[in-house]
Amino acid sequence: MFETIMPSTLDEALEYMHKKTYSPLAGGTDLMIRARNWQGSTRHFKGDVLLISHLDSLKRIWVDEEAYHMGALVTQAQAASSKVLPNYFKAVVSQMATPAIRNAATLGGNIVNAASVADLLPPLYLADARLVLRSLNETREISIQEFIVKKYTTSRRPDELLTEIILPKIKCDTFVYEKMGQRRASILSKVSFLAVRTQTDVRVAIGALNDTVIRSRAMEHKIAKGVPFDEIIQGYEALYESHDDKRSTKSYKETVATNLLKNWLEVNHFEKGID
Amino acid sequence: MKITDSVERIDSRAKIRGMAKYIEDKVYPEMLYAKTLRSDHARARINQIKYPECPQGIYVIDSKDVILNNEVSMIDTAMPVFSNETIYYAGEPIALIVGSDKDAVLRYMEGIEIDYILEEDPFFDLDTASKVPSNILTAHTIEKGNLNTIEYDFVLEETFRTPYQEQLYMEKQGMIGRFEEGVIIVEGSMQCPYYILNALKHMTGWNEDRLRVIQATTGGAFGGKEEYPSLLACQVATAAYKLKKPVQLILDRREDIAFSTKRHPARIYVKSYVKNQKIQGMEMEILLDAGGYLGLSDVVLQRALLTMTGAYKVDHLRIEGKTVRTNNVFTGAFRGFGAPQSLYALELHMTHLANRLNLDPMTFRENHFVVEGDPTSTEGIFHEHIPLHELSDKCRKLAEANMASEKKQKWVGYGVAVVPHGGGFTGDGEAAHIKAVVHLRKEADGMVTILVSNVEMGQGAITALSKIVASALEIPISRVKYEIPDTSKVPDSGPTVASRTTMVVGALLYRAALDLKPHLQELGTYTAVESYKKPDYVVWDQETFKGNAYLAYSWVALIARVEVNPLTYEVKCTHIWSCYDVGRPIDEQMSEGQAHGGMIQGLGYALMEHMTSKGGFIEQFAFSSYPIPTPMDIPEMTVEWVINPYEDGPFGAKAVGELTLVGVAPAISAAIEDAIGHETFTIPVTPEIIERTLSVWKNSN
Repeated sequence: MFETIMPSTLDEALEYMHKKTYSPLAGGTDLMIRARNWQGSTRHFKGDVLLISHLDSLKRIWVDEEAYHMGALVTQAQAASSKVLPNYFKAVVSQMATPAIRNAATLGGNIVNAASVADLLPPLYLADARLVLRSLNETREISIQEFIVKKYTTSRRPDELLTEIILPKIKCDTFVYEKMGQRRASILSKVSFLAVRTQTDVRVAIGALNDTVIRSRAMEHKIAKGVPFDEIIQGYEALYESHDDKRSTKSYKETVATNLLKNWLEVNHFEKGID
Repeated sequence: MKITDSVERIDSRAKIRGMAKYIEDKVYPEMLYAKTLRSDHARARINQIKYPECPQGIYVIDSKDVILNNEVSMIDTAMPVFSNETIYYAGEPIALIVGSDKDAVLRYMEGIEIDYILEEDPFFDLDTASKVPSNILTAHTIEKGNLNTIEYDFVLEETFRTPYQEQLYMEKQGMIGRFEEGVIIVEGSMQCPYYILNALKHMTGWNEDRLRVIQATTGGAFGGKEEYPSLLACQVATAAYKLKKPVQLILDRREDIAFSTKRHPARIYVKSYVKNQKIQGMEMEILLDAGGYLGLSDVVLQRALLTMTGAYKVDHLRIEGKTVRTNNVFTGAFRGFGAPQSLYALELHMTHLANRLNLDPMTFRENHFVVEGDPTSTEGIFHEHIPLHELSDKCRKLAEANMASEKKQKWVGYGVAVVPHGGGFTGDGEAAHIKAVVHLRKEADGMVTILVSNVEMGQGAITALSKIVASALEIPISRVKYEIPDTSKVPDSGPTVASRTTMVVGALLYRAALDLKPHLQELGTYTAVESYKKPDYVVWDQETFKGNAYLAYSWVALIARVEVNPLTYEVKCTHIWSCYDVGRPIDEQMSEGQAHGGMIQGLGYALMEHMTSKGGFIEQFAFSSYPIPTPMDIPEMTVEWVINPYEDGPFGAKAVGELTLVGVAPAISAAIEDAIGHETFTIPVTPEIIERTLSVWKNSN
């Protein structure tokens, strides 16, 4: 059996987490499924559960000069309908799951889950997002790359709670986002492609292909410099580490990632560079 | 009322409001919950099962508890209620673990140890399995004319493959067994109450005085609740009899997808001999993966074979078919029943032939359409008007408005299919085996009650049958009641399968209504009884497969339009135009609903419902891994009718339900081929298949 705790404030939650390891449960759209059991029997949670979805202090979205700030308990629906968040970010969130799941699922949940197919990770990698982790005695801020160690593994300590996502403001004149799934909605990504450009910069993130998001600042600089497309494509292809799975094939995922990259390079006429 | 009046679905209000009680909603005093103990291996012998000592309130029900025969009767009796020795597929039921506390049941199950002996190699691959003679469960050959004497310009031979398809009814499989006053009562989600009654009779050796089967509200079935519920019914009946308490068995969703019947994977070989742009003769072979037990697979095979020439006249034929035993999950009934496999292969082959001949695919088909008076593939005679040219003309006109407005562009394609579906049981099955009986009773209060064993499973049976009765009696539909099928109350009007409910059972009720009509004004009650009588035109020899394979055929012409994304190879089916001959639709709105549902289920089969087996276990056993179409995937659908009343159908109605699915996959596949410029030989045509097809072509050039 497992214990279920419902703290009334964030501080109280952190006190509980200081004493013992809990699974923080917010929207529950992933954890409840993973804890599935014969319908009508007790859910099969592996440890004790800390219910946090009611902690209003973590449900805010605000903006300052440098960045967009999102509480970890902001729901996907809330983010998708936000008037302040950037369009490339909202385009990603609004294609996740289904309307009902987006109403419950939180941004923080998708990030700490750290699945290779987590759709929020590509925009966070793309914008060099930072995450705020709080424990009873410490608040620390780390980059998304430092946070995601590998598939399903993060650098969050058991006594820490992800409280805030900081999405730096990047210039974004145009963007493309393509998400490939087995159907057009309510489906996990087989591969996703997100790219933004401005007069002076380009950024590319490829999701779901490898265990973690593909993002290379070095390659982005080459694109900006007008390096020949073949070299760019070879550079990205050298980063591919996908494999066949029950949803798709290595060949498909890698071919499509390259197709989308190549098409984006061509339609933006990056052969001339942008510097 | 008149048959042409539009009515509200009789069952819809209770379902929409959440008032309908499904089997999972039912609670009886002292009811216990059962969980199935399943085999971990696909092919094994059970040496020993070590059950821990049962704590109070936990019970093990297995083969030793079966009253008489540890056999599930579904045509043959090879399948055990509980396996006690040989395991033929992964997940085969061994026992029920029963208790009032589900957590305690699960804790107990963790302690069970099964010692298996793995002495024989299992068969998972259809091709490999089919080469071993002992795996061939049944085989049939249909021959007509003489292929040796025909002349031809060229030959086209192709092999197609079709995958599993899961019914994915919204309500999972479920049964409750009770033992009350010496009677075993089984209640649950089902299509065929009398199939279950017969299975219980065989298992117990009892007669129907001590056995009773009741249908609970059934949330979808599509064939998945044709034969499989007989297994579950035998299990809960055994448990309820032993424990003398109600026992509920509800499969979890993942358990249901992984271990209940699904559509047969098939390999279909088609070879055509062509001269002067006409098919002179055809050879075909179809192999079906039956899984661990035959079940209904041979009947599925027969329909696959008997429909193999589709809408076309072919004078010289040889069609072979086999059901092959593998150690995969056992396969069974699913809307279309063998026809989706054979007609996918035939229709795509017709498109490939038209391409070779540089002919429009619809025109090439039209040149081969059967007409009234033509011989069938089994040397029967098409005895009715066949409006195939009207259907193809009308369908083409519907689509042409769209096609004319766009120039031929790369990555956009159109595909056609024209298919039949025979209504009711194959051959003389209705008269020889089913022998349907219906009752129609005028009650003392003036209401009229329909008493049949055909169930409402979401398809609209109650509304269709009530409409037929009310229209025949010329009374308001509100005066017609439908008795929930309960074998202690309703006669055996046969199973709710084979698109027969409206066409066959509805016709019996129509005749019963004409008998009842003069008695409507009398006091007291009056019951009209009608039994199935074989029409004179049905001549059938089940030994030789000669004669009229079906009572009457329904027909459809389809055109699908797709757009393929050249970068991601994703397919968007944008529009399906369809034109049907279902005799006369009993209710246009309901028939349109059937057409829409069939097109969507067919679209899933064509594009995305990828299901594979690994080591005998279904790999995609969750909603997240087995994708069916969402509203975002549904194309625009145009539905039109050609009214062609069938003389023996109620108000001229013929089969509807299955027809709407069978032609969709080949039409969409052909549209994709048109868009990408390459042939395909398997479904679902996923983006991965398109990527591979294009890359193979690219590498070979």
